[in-house]
Amino acid sequence: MSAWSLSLLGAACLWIAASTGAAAQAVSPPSAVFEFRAADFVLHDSDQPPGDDAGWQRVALPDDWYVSRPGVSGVGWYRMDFELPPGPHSIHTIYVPRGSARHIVFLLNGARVGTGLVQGDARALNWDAPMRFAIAPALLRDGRNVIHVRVDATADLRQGLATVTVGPGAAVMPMFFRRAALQVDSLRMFGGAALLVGLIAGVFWRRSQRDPVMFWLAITAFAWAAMSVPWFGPQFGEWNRAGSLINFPLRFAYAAPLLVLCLRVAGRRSPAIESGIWLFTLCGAAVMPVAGEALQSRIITLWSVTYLVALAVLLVFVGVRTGKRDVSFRLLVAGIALAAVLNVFDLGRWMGWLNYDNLTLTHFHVPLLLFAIGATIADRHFRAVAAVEHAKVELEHRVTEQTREIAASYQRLREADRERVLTLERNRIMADMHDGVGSSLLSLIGMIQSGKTERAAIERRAQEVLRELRLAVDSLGPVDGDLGVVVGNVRHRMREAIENSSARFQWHVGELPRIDYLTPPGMLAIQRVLLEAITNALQHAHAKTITVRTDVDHAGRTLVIQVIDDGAGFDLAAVVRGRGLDNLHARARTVGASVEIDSAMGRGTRVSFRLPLLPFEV
Amino acid sequence: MKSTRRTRVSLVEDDADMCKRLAASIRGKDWLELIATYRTGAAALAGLAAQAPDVLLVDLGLPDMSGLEVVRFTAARHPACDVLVISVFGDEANVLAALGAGARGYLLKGSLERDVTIDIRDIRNGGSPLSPLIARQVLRRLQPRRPNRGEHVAETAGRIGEETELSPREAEILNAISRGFSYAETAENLGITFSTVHTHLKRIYRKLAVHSKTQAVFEASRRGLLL
Repeated sequence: MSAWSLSLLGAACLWIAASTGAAAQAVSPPSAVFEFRAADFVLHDSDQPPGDDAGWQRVALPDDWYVSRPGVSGVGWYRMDFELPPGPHSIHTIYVPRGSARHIVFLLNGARVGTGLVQGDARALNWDAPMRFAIAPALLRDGRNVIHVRVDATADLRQGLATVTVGPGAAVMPMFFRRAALQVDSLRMFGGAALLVGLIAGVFWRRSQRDPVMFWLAITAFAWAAMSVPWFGPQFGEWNRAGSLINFPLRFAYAAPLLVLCLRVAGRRSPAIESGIWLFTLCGAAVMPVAGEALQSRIITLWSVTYLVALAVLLVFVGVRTGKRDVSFRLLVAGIALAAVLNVFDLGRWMGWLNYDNLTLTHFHVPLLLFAIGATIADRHFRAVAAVEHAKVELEHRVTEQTREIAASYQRLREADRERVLTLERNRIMADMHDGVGSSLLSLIGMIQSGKTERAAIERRAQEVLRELRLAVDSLGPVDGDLGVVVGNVRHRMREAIENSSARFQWHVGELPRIDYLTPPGMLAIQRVLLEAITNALQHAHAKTITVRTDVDHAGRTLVIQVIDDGAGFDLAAVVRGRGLDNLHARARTVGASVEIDSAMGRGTRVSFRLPLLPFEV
Repeated sequence: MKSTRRTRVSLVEDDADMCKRLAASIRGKDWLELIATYRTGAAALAGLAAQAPDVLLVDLGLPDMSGLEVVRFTAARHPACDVLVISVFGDEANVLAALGAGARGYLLKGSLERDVTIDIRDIRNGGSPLSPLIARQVLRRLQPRRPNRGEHVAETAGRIGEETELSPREAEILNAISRGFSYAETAENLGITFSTVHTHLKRIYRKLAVHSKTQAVFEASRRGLLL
């Protein structure tokens, strides 16, 4: 990247060197073009050319008064002549590469020429712009023609007369245009571009991270845009009135922002140094308008040197201090370095060390500066895009991780829940085993140990225990609230007992409603109630017929299961409530049901189990 | 039994006491002939490869393998052989698995009052009694499937459908059994003969076995083991 910026810098230097060279050298003109490297001069404050006896002296052109007659301020006359062959003459043009004076008037053969041209108005204080004046053919003579130049100038402000060239318009105009393009158009162009880039940088600064570097880039660009404004004016004369007022900003407006920018690029935020820079700049701007020309000269010199030194120091500082070395940074450093170099060049001309005809060059560092701003903006933009992209990836990653975590914790919850349900179920089965099978087995052992119980009774008891166990296992099977299966299973489990009994068994189980809340404990409770009732009928009633029937009451709110026998029956009042009957009621209650026993001696028994078809709390 | 030949029975049971009792019951009937008893699954597989009984009694809890292996082997090797599974609880999970593997019924361990030979006679006549719980599960499994919205019904499903789905009458029979009705009561309620009920039950058993096979194939292809 540095190679790229270096080659850019090199190209710019070559271009500048070539053009300045072309302007400074005495290009041997075509025979008809005269380039005056010397002229007669006399200090003479008059409106008309002084006579031959006025004391003309030979001087070299260009004539920088700061060098040739320091301290002088006033009107001087230059005189030069050239020969034209006889014949009709084309339109001729006078060209001066730099028009730097309070007032310049050209006369040819005693007649005034070339007023009213935009960049050639002799009245204008044309800071550094070239001048041209058209000469009507009628003014030209065969043989000797004399040019008089009236220059109202100040040595302190480096005014005077540059090289004068006269010749046919076709030959001389291109010289003017080239000079105007390099000195004036470039400044306008850079000014416009600086305004645009400054605006973009400003918007970018406001809209994004409020980066101070971006802010000072924008301010520097705006300063350059402002400095180019006078060059867009229709008449330099208009600006001339503001002369000394805008003289300082026109030279140094960019300097303070550029220095602050240097500091910020170096990552330094030093209020003291920055205040110093601004104070120094304000001093110059304040003193300049009220200062005499001699003082103005000193101010310009002092401020130029100071800014230059500060720039050089900060440049070294930036190079040493800053850690990042990206393209925008290198471009910026290159731009600032170029500004320093070009300033040295301009200072050299100001001090009279270089040819007076030379271009003013400082503003040629502006393109590099604008490139740097553009690169910085692009860099920020792409970095922001990359950051967004990265954030997106990061976000996706996090979402994935979160999803996985949620899934995992859900899984854990589910497992915990299942574990809980399993524990509940295990506890239930354990309790069941303990109260049901366990106690039955204990009583069975007791029967065996006593040795008094008959073998058949023991066997029957054992069968009951096994059946109990089977019912418990059945209650774990999925029935989906199908009560018909629950009732049907009781008969299945009692098959042997029923087949071995002499009673006729009538089974009237219709389609029963689904009861969704039927849990394994509920199912087991219902089965035990029925089992108990049927067992009682089989064992004690000596019935001929045992009927099991199911009905749903008219409202559909209650299910009734009845076990009816036509056996011996018993006296409800006389019977002390035995363990069996108590069990029936207790078990029915666990599912929210009730048991009703209707019996009388010799009239059989009817056990009615009523289950409300509504959810209940176990 | 009108058959002039005695029904040949083999027994696979690792519990010696149980084995002795079952053998005694079988030898007590002149129409039954006990041709072999095996104490392990491996012995049973070896023996059954050589000779096929008419009825095989298999305990599910064998020391070296699941009794289901023996059931599956026998059902594949000797389709004519009726396999009865011996179960402690007759719980639906085990029984359904046995029926799916090709068993024709089960008998409960510890039915002391009840002679095992009655179960054998039952099965020779069509099948041992189904419990209501198992009848209900069979009903659920083999209920004709109404394809759900957007559900892709495999091409083979239609072909196998008839082999695995219950007919309306079969569903009626299973429904009655699930509510506790005996075969005789079911026959009477539906206005059909007792033997027709047995015929239907036989068909249901076959469908259940086919269903578990196609279910296995379906599962395998779904998991990418086949095709």
